[in-house]
Amino acid sequence: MKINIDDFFRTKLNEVNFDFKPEYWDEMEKKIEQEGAGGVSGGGFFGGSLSIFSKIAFIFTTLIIIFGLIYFFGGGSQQDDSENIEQPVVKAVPANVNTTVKTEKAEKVTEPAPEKVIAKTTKRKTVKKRRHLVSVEPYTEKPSITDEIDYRLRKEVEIRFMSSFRPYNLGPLKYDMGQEVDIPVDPAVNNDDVNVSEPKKITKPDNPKDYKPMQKPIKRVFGKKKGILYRLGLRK
Amino acid sequence: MIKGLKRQDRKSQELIYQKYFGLMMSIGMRYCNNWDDAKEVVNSSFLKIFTKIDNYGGKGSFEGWMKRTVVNTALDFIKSRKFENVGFDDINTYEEDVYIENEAAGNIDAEDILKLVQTLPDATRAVFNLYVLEGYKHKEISEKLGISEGTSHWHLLNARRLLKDKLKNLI
Repeated sequence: MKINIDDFFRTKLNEVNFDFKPEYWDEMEKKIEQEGAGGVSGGGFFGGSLSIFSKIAFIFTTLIIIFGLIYFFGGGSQQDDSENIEQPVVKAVPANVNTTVKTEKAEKVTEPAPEKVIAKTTKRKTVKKRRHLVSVEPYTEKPSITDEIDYRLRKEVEIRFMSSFRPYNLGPLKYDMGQEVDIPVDPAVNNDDVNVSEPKKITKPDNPKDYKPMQKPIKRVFGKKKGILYRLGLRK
Repeated sequence: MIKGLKRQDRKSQELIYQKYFGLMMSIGMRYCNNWDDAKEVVNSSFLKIFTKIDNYGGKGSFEGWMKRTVVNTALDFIKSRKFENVGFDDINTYEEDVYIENEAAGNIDAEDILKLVQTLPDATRAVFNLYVLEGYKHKEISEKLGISEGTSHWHLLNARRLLKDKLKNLI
């Protein structure tokens, strides 16, 4: 009887089996240990292949590196050192000051002035100042170009605001930040209300509505970030 | 035991190794021509099984997944050694079935049959095992071994001829 050679070999080869011996597992276990694969009792970084001292040293080194990186590139550049500076508080108090009001008829009338805001240091308040840890020069003397632009813009807005109170036929207002100035009146303009012979003096209104006094340019609080070359002293 | 493998429990690994060593070794010995190479393939397969146990989704049988692992490992081992050059003149040869006399061959021991298979050239042995024992088609074999389908046909035909001749000598 003839049989297909494929079926014959399939049957015979499936009968082949090999017995297990304990030394085979010892060899396999060594291979597992070498490859560092699995094993609760051993293997892996935290499984026992390294000593406790090595693990602790590794962890500390890693933490030092991480904190160093954070200090140099992250949050180390800004820190609240809670330096207290004193700042006066402005409080409104009634002033016993008489003011002189100039009218068209040049009459001098003395009357009590309305409540006026004067600066008086009544209480000192401590505020926290944020400071750059790494040596950063404080912003003191010369304003930057952005501060200068900010100052000029405020000035322009103030002049426009003051011009809105002035009759249109009095000519353009020349007003320089609260100082009294003489304004020549155009003689071509016919206006009875205006005394042409005398130049009119105007002053900055004491407390106009919605008037906000010009503030100083905002001081840069946070230090400008410096590069690694600056910190190493290689670059100014 | 599979749960133990997923926990990387060493005792479970030992039990699995002990239980399936014979089966895995019989597969490894078909693809390798000596005991040491087969054992290296089997241990590498077990290492893959232990480390990549999470890849076993639990759909098929665990034994089948292990068999595929050892076959693939054996094929990688064979491919790491260069295949011998094949005479491509016979590639278009018609693939014919080969028959043998069952009465005479039936008395041959299974281990002797295994030794016969081990005498085949690497690529020929691999194609014969994949086609006859694992049930792969020529297209799949060509993809696994990185050869053409024609070459796979030739290796199978060559294996049948060689084995028939060796069986005659053995009988």
